[in-house]
Amino acid sequence: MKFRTSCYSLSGASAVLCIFAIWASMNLDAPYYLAFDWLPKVGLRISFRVDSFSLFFVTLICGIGSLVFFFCAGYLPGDKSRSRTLSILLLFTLSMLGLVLSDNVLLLFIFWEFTTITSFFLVGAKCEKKEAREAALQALLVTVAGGMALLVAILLLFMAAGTLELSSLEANRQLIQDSPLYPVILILIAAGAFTKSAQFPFHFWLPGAMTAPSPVSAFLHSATMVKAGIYLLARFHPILGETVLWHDLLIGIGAATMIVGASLALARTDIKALLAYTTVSALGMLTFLLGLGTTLAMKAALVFLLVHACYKAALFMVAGSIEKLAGTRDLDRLHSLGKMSPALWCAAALPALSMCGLPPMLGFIGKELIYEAKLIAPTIDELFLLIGFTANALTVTAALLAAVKPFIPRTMDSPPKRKLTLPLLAPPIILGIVSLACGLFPTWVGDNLLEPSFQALKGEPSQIKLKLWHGVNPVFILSVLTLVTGALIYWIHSYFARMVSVVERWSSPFAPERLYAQLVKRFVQFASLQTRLAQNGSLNFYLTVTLCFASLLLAAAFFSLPEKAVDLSLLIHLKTSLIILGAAAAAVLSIRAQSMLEAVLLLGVVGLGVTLFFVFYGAPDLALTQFLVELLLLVLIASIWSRLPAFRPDTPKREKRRDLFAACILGVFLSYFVLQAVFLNEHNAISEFYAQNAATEAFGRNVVNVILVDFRALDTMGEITVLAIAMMGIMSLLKTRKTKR
Amino acid sequence: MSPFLLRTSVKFIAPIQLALALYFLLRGHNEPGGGFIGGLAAASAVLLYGLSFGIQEVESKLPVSWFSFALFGLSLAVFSAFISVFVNQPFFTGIWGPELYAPLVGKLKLGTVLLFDIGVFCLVMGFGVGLGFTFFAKEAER
Repeated sequence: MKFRTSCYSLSGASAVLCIFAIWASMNLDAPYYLAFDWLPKVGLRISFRVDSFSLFFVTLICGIGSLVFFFCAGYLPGDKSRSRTLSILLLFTLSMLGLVLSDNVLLLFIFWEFTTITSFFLVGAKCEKKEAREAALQALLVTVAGGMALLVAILLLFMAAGTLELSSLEANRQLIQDSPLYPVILILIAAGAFTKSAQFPFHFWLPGAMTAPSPVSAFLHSATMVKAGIYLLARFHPILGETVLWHDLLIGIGAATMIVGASLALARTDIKALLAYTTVSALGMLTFLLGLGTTLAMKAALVFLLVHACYKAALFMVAGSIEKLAGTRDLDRLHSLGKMSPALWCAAALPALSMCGLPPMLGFIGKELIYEAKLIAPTIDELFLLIGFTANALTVTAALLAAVKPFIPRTMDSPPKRKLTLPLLAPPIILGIVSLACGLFPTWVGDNLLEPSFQALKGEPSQIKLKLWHGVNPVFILSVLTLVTGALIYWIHSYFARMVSVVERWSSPFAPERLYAQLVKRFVQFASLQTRLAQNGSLNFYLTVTLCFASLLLAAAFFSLPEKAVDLSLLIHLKTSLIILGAAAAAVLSIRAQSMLEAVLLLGVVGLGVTLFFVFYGAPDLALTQFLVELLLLVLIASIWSRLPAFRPDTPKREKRRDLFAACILGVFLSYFVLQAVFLNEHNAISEFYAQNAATEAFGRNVVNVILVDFRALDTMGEITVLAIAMMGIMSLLKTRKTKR
Repeated sequence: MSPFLLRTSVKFIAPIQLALALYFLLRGHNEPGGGFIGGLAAASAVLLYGLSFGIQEVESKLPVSWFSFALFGLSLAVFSAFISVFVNQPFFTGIWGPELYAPLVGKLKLGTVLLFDIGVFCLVMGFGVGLGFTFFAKEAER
């Protein structure tokens, strides 16, 4: 009950935000900026920009998000990781909102990676299943690789334009396009967007990610996350667009993705896989339109974004409900669902109509616009028109497969009626009604949502009015032809599916997923080889290597010293020499120790000697720290006492000699440099600065601590983070052992 | 040896050690001490207590795990660094508040830097105790 309540409240909050975004989009005249200085010295800012294009995405994210949270209340109960899934979904929503609202590209990148990471956990939600884990890893690796490309592109952009704010990058458009770095930047940014938006040849992670729970697929893999790549390309269109390279790259990849996705879809029998491949195809269509880049194409892309988000999210949710109803998603086994739950059929039919592009759904308007954009575009080949036509026809077939085939009866017997709970039915129906309403009142949607976002993106009005009925013209005829072809293919789809499977099998050695698998396998092999060589598990070996390398470095430094004299006056003091003698004696005795206890205690004495040294030479902080660390080490060693390997005082002679040699060399060099330090410390400007400013600037008289927590607090932050990570590693290592036994 | 002697003495020593740890933490800005040292001292106090009275005795008194405690410290440190951003100063700028007079410690100036130090304290303490106790627990299993 409690879980449902949180679902409903999240849903309500998103709905409110969605309505607010629509209202803001209607009333926003100029972009609203919000910025904090982060590190002004290196020009890093946290800056957000709210314009109508961002708000359009906010509307999509919150609107779909609201319904998905509602759907969760029906779908997730019974799942034992439900609370985790819900909270990660919330995190994902927030990072997605951050992504579309950030003005600074680095900030955008951070949110971008956040969506990748949260998506990893969501895809792997059923982490007890091997395929879920593998799919999650695959999605993560592919998108992270793209993310790295994006990061490099951002750095190059900064080199070319000297700014990281999207708004000022737009002003520097000419500078960037004339820069010799331009092709590299474009290709890297495209790589980031293509991996995220599952473009060919990176498309394979998206169908794999269908192991995720249905609400996740409805949210991430249809409406929002995969659209992040499209968002990025659209945002960068005013900066990088309208060049030959942009045009060719996006159109080529987009067309390939469109046709590959649509054809592969028909060979799938899992509803979710089928929908995933049609999503790939739709994303290809969006990339294609952005590649065209004409006013009409951009507008069509915006309309299609809305259309696709509405119908695809709804169909994914229907797929989830079908799974709940019939216990399977396999198209070959599903039938007669229409009799079992007429409401569900209705929920599937409305979005499917929009997907087919039938009037009066919004999908019809979207498809008309796309055809129009392609027909009047001056620069594209007829071939692309054919590809687009085929992809659309195959999409119609896929829609029929998803929303008709499982529902019609194949046998005479009628299965019992079953009622689905409201959260499983209402969200897809609402989305279907939204599609219908938008189709019936296209002018309202166009004027209040799409036109402002177009203006925000391009800086000028599009002058294109959305209309449901354009009369009988070439575009309309194409639309009708698409529908008829799609229906015909549905009739013979089993033959078509068999054909696609044959081609798939024939081309499988060259398939990108095979390549990915090979790459991962080789990488793991290399890693294990490298681990065997460098980390053979012998502490002795590690120490020897580390010490020898340190000695080498010190030796190199020694031979490059101009002045080799050493100040030995330090050793003359009685106190000092006594401490040194004591510590040295303990060290020598520890070598000869006959038991572990003896060795540990003697080493403790060496440590205490060093502590005393610090005490006498004015470093009480160091002394305290050293003392406490010695103490803790002793306690820790005591706690693992019986686990330590047997003490071997009788190590082979050869090994002993080798260790002695390594230790002596390092000892000699280190002592030499410690004594040399008196001469070396010539540039003491920094320590002087700290000493002088600690009290006045940072209000502290203890310079050491002031450096730690104020002057160099960022270093401390890094160190404590490392501590936390180390702790996590050690604890999980120790705990996994425990469960295995 | 009966742990009686150990337990009786630890009962007295551990609170003093903890107090000393806090003392180190608070006076750290002006005299030797600070979050790191204080954290180490506090960790050794708790470890000593756990060693003589058993881990359950300590962990039953604490509502959260030591790992969460350490993470709390890390978040506190991060949060303290962010405060300056919200008053439109660069990240990590020290924001100072009023100066107090605390007994034993002397003058104590409140500010984000102190908060950061407390974060370091919690993290180091959680780290030390968490690791030590995990080792103890492994040991007790055998």
